[in-house]
Amino acid sequence: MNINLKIWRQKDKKDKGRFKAYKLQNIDPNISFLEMLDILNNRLIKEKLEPVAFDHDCREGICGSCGFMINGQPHGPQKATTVCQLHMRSFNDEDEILLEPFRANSFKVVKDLSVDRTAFDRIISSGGFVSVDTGKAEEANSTVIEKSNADEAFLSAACIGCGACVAACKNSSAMLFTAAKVSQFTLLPQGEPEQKERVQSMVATMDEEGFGACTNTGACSAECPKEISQENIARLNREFIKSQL
Amino acid sequence: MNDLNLNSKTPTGDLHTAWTRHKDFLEKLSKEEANKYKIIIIGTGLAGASAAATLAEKGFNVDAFSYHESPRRAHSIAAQGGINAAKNYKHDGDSTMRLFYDTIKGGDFRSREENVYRLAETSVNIIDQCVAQGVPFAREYGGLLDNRSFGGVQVSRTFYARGQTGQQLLLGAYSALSRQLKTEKVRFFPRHDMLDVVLVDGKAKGVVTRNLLNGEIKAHQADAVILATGGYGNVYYLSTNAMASNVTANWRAHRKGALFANPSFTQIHPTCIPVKNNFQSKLTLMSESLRNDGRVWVPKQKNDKRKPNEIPEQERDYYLERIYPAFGNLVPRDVASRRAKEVCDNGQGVGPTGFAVYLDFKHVIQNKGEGYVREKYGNLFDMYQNIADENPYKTPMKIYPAVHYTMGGLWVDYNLMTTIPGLFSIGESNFSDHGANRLGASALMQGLADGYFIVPHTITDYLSKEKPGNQDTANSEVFKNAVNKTEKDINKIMNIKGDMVVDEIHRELGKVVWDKVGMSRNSRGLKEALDIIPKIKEKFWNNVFIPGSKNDYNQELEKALRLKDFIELAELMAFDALDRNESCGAHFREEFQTKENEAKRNDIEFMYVAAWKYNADGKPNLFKEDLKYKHVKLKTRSYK
Amino acid sequence: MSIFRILTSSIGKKVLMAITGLLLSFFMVFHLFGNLFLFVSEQAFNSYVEKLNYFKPLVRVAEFFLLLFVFSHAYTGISLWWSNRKAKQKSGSYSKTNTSQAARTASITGSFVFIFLITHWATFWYKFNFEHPESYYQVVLGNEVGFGNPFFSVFYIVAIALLGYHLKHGFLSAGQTLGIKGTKYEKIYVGVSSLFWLWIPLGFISIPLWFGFIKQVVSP
Repeated sequence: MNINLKIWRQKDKKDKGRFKAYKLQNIDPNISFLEMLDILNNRLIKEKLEPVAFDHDCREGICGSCGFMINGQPHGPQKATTVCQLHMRSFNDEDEILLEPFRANSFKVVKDLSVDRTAFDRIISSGGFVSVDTGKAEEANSTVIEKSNADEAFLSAACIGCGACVAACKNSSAMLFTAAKVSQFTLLPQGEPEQKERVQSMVATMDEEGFGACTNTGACSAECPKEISQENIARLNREFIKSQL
Repeated sequence: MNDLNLNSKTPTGDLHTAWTRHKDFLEKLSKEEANKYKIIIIGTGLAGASAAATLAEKGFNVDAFSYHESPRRAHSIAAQGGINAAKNYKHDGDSTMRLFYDTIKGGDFRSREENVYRLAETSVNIIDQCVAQGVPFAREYGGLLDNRSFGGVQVSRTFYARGQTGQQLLLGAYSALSRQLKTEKVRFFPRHDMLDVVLVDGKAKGVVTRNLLNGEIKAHQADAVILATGGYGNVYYLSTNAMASNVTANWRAHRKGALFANPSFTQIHPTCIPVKNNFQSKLTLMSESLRNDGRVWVPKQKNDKRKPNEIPEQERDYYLERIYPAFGNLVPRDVASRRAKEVCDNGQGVGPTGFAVYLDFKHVIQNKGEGYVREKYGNLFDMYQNIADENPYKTPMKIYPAVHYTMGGLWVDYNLMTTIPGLFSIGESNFSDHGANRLGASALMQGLADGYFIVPHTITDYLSKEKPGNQDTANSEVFKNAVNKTEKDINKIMNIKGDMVVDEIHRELGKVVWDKVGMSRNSRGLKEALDIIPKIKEKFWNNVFIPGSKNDYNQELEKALRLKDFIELAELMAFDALDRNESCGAHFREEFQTKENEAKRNDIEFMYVAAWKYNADGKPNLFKEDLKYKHVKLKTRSYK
Repeated sequence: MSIFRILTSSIGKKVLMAITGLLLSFFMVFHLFGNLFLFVSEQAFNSYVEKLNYFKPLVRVAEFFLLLFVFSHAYTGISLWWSNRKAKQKSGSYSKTNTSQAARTASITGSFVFIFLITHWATFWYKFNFEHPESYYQVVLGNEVGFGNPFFSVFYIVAIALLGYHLKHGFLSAGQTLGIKGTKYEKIYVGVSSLFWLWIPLGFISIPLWFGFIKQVVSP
């Protein structure tokens, strides 16, 4: 298949950036989207040009490194799928494909399609943990946890921190990301003692980092490659209100 | 230095109390004293993050470096199946002794008894620690932790979180690390590659790093350095490792004098999605846990082009069940992989390339229903369907072995210290616990055991005998020289200005290593490899082209710096494989096999760890650490 | 501390927005109840308004709070709109496919509703309270500012339709902000939501539609 790419090229944080058009011919529909970019980059290097920078690592959909906008959707058109797990068979011959980095003021562009998502780490380090020193844990089975709660906590903890939620949101809100972590600890007894402080300080950090407010559009969950649900946001809201009372 | 004495410092006497006794004699430091020391940790995956968190809790100042933007992206995250622990929650007769024995036997008697026992002993603490951190392990309806069984063992001791156990454990360690970032006991340096270890009076006192975003080369001073940089499977180009997983930190340490042990012990994982085309950038693993319920088979007839569902039961060869009636589909990884290669080499392979076998879930779906399979393996099935474009609920999966894990790594003593004083190596990056083959669900266990429970004690002991250094030494001559040398190396590569793309050369290297130092080896092939690899090296140094600037986010330069080290490592792997004239675990030398094509070990001549010393002339020196088995009886591995 | 947090944190603002929005929505039920007397008879409507005048002090207090709700709803709305604009890069893309039109336009529809409210107060409310007309019924249906004036009727219908559209996103959004999702109240809440964004606005619209247009045709 042939495809027409329009890719955002931006040298560094300060550069203004612009779209550039590239044509690729005879692409095997069974290769992955990132392999298609590998082919493009290979060609660019052969032409002594700079390849397109994009983040990626595990290429198994779990490390959360990859992610950019494909035709206005983070990670592209396929539901519950990261870019690295997207295949060219999701597109048609002669399709125009527009690639741009995740857009949010809290995610500064590093280069081309690569952005800086360290703001997420700062949200986690403001309270996304249980304060238990190594070696001070009690016997694992001494606390019984209802299976349904453990399963639900897992679903929240499945977040890969890719930032698609922020990119999908018209407000660049990080609510889904923050809510998923808060939810995990809300659903488990281990999270209980620090809950109030955790919720308040994670929300405060989220705001300080310059993410927008949630206006409940639901775009984040719809685009989330791990399908983290809106229930997490509702739970964070409840916990936040509770923490203020 | 050819008289180097490899002292493993393993405690003698009773195995069960060895670690406790050893620990009792390790020096301790109070929090106030610890606060005077700085430790550098390279890599923040399971091992690195857990070590960073624990050391900070003990009062040390930690500088942690990663080539990722966040510790949460480390490749530990991709481990699917689970983590072993001798909790015996299932009352199926499991014990520390049994986990120890399974691991030693799984490793084909090429690992240290004391290390492995300590690993088994520590495993139970890991589960406690992780549960306390809020890791959402799978649970039974009664609310207690659930277990499943895994390849190579007959008890159920694997703790899991769906098919994302590595992710959940890494996020646990990452959260512990994050907590220390808040206290500022740990400083995290994202997107940094370590390019050199700095030695002062022969001891590791710092590192040189490159900031990947702006190319800045900088020296960092410390009182000790821990390498937690994972494995080097990407030497094969195609592997299940993440794209950027590399050997560079380890290799630079090796060049500085740290011995590299058993480099040719690389594990080929039996259940991966087969290679489809030339553009393939990496291979995807399907958790081994699938072998609990899936049955492996190929058509009995050669070159059978029928669809799998058209092949009747009596014309299928369930070869693992046939050859190994006791373990069946649950034989260890090396055995399962080699047998798959064997049937494919015999023409019974399936799929377009003929290099694949079926993993069939028809029977379990018939007996226990699709819901059961979905609950247990749902995400793996989705992943398979997405990549292979086939529905594994309806048609069997196609799988083939792929490079997955490297048992080899930097040689370390019982304290996890390399042959360079003050330089430690933990997790997959060392060689310590898995011998010639690693059992499933043991990598996560080792990473966390080293990081949470072992290195924090042993490094304290080392530091208690060292005077704390100070930051200003980072400006001293030796650090400046190291920075200059690194800058020179980079300029040299930038200035080659040839016409080959890094990946092209890497692919070439990968093919040689896979063909000749892969699943099975022979002396002719290994000698050929030793002949070809230097030519690839030459090609690299004459023909590689790096676009862009070195003072920029330059992913091609990163790749080139890593490939340069992979090429040198590949040569060492071939040396090692050629030296070991026996078959053991993942190291299968075609010349040394039984009539039934099983590995033929040679305990009389090769019961040692092969530790290699770097020489600038390209001819490494071999040092041997003899292995002694006092608590287990040497046996020929049998899974029949 | 709590009040301060509510005014500074993003979730706090949203909670304030949700509560004021919901209270205003509930007020609409009460308002519509009165309006429907127009369909009964002139006398019925007038006497209903007279009865309200009887409780004037209470009404004033209620009005004060309603005004407070309107302004704090608008204030938080504007402040969130502003910070959200800053959070998104200029002309930055987002998932339009998965953001409903109603959610995307909530701030625009809200602003229009606000303008409508001001005209509403300047006309009906001012006349009812300060001009003491003989028949309130005639004010509503008259030609000056009432539904006898087709321009006014159209403006009213459009405004209420936009209010409905505003609530289509707003009402469920308020529930989400208050954490209804995943609780036992979710079903009921979602069940009644159409009452607020569809049926009540239709009730309001039915008045100008009937008196301003249909009635003119059916029985001039």
